[in-house]
Amino acid sequence: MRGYKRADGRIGIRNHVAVVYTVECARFVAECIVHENPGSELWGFAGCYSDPYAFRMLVELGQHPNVAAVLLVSLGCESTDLVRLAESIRDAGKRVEVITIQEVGGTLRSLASGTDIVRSMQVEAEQAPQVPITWADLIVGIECGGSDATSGLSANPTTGWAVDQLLQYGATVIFSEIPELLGTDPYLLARARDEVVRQKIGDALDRARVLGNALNHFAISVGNQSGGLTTIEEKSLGALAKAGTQSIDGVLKTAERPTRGGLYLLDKVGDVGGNQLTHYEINDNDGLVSLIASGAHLLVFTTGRGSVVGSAIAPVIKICGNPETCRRMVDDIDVDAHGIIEGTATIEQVGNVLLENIQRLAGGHLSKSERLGHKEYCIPYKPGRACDVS
Amino acid sequence: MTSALRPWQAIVLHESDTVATALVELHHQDSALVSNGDLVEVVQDIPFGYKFALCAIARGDTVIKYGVPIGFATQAIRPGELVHTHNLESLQVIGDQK
Repeated sequence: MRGYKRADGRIGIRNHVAVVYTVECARFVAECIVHENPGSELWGFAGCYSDPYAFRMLVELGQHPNVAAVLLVSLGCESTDLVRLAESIRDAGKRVEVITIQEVGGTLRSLASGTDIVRSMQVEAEQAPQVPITWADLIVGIECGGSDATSGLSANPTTGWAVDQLLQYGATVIFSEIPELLGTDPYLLARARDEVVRQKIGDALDRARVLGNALNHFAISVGNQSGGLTTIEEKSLGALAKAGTQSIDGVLKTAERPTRGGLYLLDKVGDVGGNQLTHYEINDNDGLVSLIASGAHLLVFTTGRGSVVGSAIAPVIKICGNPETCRRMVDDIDVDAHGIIEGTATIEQVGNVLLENIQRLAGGHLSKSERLGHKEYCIPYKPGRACDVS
Repeated sequence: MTSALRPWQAIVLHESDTVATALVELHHQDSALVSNGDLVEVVQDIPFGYKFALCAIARGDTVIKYGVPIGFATQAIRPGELVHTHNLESLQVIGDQK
């Protein structure tokens, strides 16, 4: 495995030059710049009114070690503090440039200027020092989406087996989706490393329960139920299997990074005491972004009904155990776990395949979603309480 | 209905479970061999991945999978009957909404 050593000491496994729009009005120009510069990546925040969560996501994604340099594309009148955003990303020691469309003089001049900047950033990025990396350098994020009855029997326990191995090798693993752990309370609490962690997990579960009741909605979708899952408890028990069996070493708040190796639970449920209650996470891409913002270099995505998502920032590996989905979506599924359901493979065998995939990915090999060109991201408004940004 | 690859057609995950998960599509009156050795006649079609009762479950009883409650029965459930959203509800709802 090899990585890119950044000025702040962090190590990335990709070497992206990012074009980041700071309001929807600037997105088209940013897209044009990316189109002109193959290999560059696009993300951004659509809102005109600044939002603490979105601002923090833009900072963390910009600072992410998979990113070599950042061009911010602003219209010029949105309320996001562009100077503070640029400075915050620069704190990581990387090149950050800003184009303000109103000042530069419209679409064509912004495109010409942006293209020049991104091209020079790409040339510089090629000079980024490459270093060999070990498992201890890696932060792996775990997410599930499109779960069905096979998830808790195959893809999730296989990922859990691999997570136990990764922790033994010294890697860091982050899982999240606390509202999708409701009903596993005794198991989850029993896995806390110490009393402080136990209290944080209990508190997060309580807030998730309050939120689910307030919204009259628990994190189980129509598709989950069509796939044989009935209640949130049943989905949660399957979901928890992807986090392996080891102690939970810490609970992270939104955008907080692990300080050392181990298994971490990301709590983005936030404060539920206020008036503005919204969904803690609006879709899987939102979930992936928050794991990346907490430092995940790559993501393992477990599915049953199937998913195609990737990420503009960090590679995504998909693992699926539903035999029909594996056949139908063979182009998108990296690790085929259907043999576990059909009785032709063991969790350990498929788990080893997953570990090999992770290792190859961290060596520069592209995942299926990367090869297909997937570059998703999602930074929504999280009004008020949604994520008590650290 | 038989799977050539393993002897059983449904899996139970814990000895205290009151439901099994179908690993193949089961049809009305099929006798399904369950991974714990039980032979259960299903009383209706059970789609792949769906659950059926291993024993009689009274209305209000908790339904057990993975060895823990995944909800409560909203009506009496016969052995071999499909267990899903029409007869199983979450326990996570607080207070009056339950």
